[in-house]
Amino acid sequence: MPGMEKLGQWFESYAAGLTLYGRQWLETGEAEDVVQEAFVRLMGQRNEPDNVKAWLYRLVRNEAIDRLRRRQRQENRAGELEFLQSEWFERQPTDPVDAEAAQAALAGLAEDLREVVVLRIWGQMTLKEMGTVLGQPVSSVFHKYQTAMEALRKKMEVPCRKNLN
Amino acid sequence: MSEEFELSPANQELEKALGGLKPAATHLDRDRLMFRAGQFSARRQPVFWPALSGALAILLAISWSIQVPPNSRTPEKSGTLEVQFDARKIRPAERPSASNPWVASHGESAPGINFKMNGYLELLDGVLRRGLDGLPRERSGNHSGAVESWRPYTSTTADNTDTQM
Repeated sequence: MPGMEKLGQWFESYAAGLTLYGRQWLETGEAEDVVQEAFVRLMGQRNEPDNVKAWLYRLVRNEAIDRLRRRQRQENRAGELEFLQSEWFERQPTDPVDAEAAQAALAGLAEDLREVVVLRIWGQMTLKEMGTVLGQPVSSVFHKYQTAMEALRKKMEVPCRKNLN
Repeated sequence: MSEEFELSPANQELEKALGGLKPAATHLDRDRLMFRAGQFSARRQPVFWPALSGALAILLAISWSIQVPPNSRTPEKSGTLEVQFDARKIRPAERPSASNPWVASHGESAPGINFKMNGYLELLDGVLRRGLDGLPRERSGNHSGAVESWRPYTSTTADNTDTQM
């Protein structure tokens, strides 16, 4: 069983990225619940997973998709508005790109493409780790990532603000 | 990323720029999470040993209930072996015959076992079964001794006595 000290380190390192990842499917509060549950379940593991980060992301993904499906049955995508309105990134004057524009561009991507971008950039994962989380071969993951980046670049070259309005 | 999975320079630049964005701070309470994780692990940890000790206690109780103490088991076997037989059916004069295969092979009697019936046993059996009536009424030429010479008191005897008196 992992120790509490390790858990604290993992929380500091992965919590924000995991929450952002969970937000691909869920509202902020629900995504945070899922992330918290993931850490709690990590503590319940008899043996520490080989790759804790990939394990956490996979768990968050599975749980988030499950919750989304349950919610969709009840509300029929009622949470989509919240998904677009909540802020994904902290806004700082030193940001190399406009956070709002980046969020809008990401929101315009197909779900499977957006997912690989979040895993790669904010999850700081290797292609192999991404493959583990998604259950796909590395070549497929890279192809999706490449496609997603091309699409993002095109979206961000034009003013993105109008996409939100 | 290997050369096989290399992004174009433009996409690499975008990747770097997006990586500069910091995911929005999560509202997850680190202390609360640590507390919950600790609670979870504490609740989960002692499951094995109490379960094991409980199972052993049950096994011990079962084994005690099944085990029969030596003292309660031996009396039936350590008591004397009682053999009931009707002595009258065994003719005192009857001797083992050579036609009996066992007798033919072992001789007249087995070591330690003597089935010879004598007059005393016959007399004893008669007394046990019929009381004083079992005693012989007349002196027999074949029998001698104190037992045979004793005459039991009977009504006939008493009448004769009374008459004589």
